[in-house]
Amino acid sequence: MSTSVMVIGAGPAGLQAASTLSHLGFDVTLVEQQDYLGGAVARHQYQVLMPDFSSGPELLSRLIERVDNDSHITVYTGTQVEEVSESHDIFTIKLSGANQKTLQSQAVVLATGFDHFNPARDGKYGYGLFPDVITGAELEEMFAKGPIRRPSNGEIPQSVAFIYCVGSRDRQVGNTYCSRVCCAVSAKQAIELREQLPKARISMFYMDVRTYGLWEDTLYWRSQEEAGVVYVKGRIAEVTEQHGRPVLKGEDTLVRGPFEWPFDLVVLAAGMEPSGGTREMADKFQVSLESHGFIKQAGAIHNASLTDHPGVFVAGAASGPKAIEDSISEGDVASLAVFEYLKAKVTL
Amino acid sequence: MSEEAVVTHHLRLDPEDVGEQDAESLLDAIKSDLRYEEVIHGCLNCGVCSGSCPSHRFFDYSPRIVVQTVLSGDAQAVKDMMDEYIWACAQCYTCAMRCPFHNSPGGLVMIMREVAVWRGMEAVHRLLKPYGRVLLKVLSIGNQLTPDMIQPDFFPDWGPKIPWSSTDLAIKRKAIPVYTLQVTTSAWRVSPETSYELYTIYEETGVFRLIEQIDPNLYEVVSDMVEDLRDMIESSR
Ligand SMILES: Cc1cc2nc3c(=O)[nH]c(=O)nc-3n(C[C@H](O)[C@H](O)[C@H](O)COP(=O)(O)OP(=O)(O)OC[C@H]3O[C@@H](n4cnc5c(N)ncnc54)[C@H](O)[C@@H]3O)c2cc1C
Ligand code: SF4
Ligand code: SF4
Ligand code: SF4
Repeated sequence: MSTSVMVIGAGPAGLQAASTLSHLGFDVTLVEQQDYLGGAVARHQYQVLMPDFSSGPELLSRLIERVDNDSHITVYTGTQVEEVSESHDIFTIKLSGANQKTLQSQAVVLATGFDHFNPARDGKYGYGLFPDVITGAELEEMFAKGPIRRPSNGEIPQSVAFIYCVGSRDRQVGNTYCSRVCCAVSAKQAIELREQLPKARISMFYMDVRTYGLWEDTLYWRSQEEAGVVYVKGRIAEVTEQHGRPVLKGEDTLVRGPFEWPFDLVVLAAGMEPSGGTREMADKFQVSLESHGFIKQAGAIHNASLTDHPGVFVAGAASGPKAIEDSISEGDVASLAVFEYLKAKVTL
Repeated sequence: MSEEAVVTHHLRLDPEDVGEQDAESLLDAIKSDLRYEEVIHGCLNCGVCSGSCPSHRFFDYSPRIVVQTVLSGDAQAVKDMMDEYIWACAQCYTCAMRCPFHNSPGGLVMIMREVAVWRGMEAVHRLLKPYGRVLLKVLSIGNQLTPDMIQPDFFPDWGPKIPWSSTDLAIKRKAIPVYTLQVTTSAWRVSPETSYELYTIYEETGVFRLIEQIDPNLYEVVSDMVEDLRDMIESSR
């Protein structure tokens, strides 16, 4: 009998896990609730990826082709996990949606990812109120669709502000963690914007710049050196509007003190939260969440993919904010952990 | 547990401390206030409080700098701030609504002000000057604003109805169908027994000693009042 493993969620982490599990000899079912594959990268049509400015569509087609061309992987899109039961270490999983079946799996990888923090939940940014205040994900969609214009009037923006840490590092909204990628993604986006807007003022309003590791000079320094981006240390307290332009209010904590500063376009670096699907699957598969609501990595630092439920593994942003490269690596880590777990039970 | 590990939160209004102005002891009084741990958890130095602060917009005042100075432990710098800097705060608490660390810089300023008052700092003599009449009301009857204090010239921000409200006061107050409110020299009728109890509290907690220190003239007026009332109450018993 072949051994089957279910991967839930087909973002970068889930796609990688499905393919690696198949290489390791398992039959894989990849379940995705949307009717497309690729997770956040597909949803927001990321064109150019942080950190190396490689192509988002190319990455996706590589990940997706491998899955599509693999006879040991069955892909169910538009499909949800309805019900889970378990006996003798075998999960019986009832699917609903486009594929209404009941399957058995010996192990499960949760790759259910993140949702963007919805900035409308924090009234001070005027998101949803002022049309020229958009999220970083919406900026990615704008890059994909065509030239950057002000949503309010279709004009070319002469000034663009990025507001860091929206929905992250903030007890008021309940998210006290750092979302890890938004500093670097914002720097990448500013560099891209510069190509389209050679004369615009581009300002970053930050509390700390966390372009950690190799991203420090390749993104943070480069955005200043090559793209003339200006960094202002002061977290934005409030966005208002005057004469049809968003106005940023804050304290320049290092240099100039109080400011009220109008911009044509304001980009909110909205953070990452555990997705609804992540919470739901944690509940159905009875795995614990850590204190911020992500899936708890019960193996702590020795194995990122172990949950506290034997046979259930986790990969990618479902266990905390992380970049695509880390999510993909975790797809592999989870596959190897599945291998180790199952090899004791069955002969492959 | 070692002796040092026990953090003691004293009641900040320790009558023994009235007048004590040593910088270290001021900072100690601020940090050991019961509310301190509720208003300051740490600080990200982010500037959201200042960015939200109406006083920051118009004065040389930043709640972030107040928080950072207190956290720095530089007692002399904190004491210097208590002389003028912190009095620019409008106590609107917008900072507390926004601080990502759930601090309340406005709450910290409140503690610092209370310590400054309690210790009778020079700034307090200056700042309380215009409030002599309010203080007298508070000390004598426990009200701070009374109907007869509402003069149109002093309260333009209360809107256009204020001149009308301040005329024929006695008649208007009589029209209020609540017996205790039909007065003009206090917000509501205050019985002599209430004042008597109030004076006892002020005395026990050191408030009178404080007033004696920061405004001797006011203290004299109040002492006479207290004495008369006590004579009256005690002889009628
Ligand atoms: C604005 C922005 C830009 C970014 N740009 C970059 C970048 O340039 N470079 C970079 O390295 N990182 C970037 N990131 C981070 C990157 O998006 C994540 O690292 C990556 O998407 C995480 O992959 P994942 O597979 O774990 O999760 P996701 O991409 O979130 O995929 C999860 C998938 O699971 C599905 N799912 C969820 N629940 C269920 C369920 N119950 N049943 C079935 N399916 C389910 C979802 O529909 C989704 O398809 C960016 C993030 C933001 C916020
Ligand atoms: S990565 Fe940067 S913008 Fe994002 S939460 Fe962390 S510090 Fe804030
Ligand atoms: S309470 Fe004081 S410090 Fe806080 S915002 Fe209001 S005026 Fe500023
Ligand atoms: S808002 Fe809070 S964390 Fe930020 S500077 Fe002010 S006190 Fe510190």
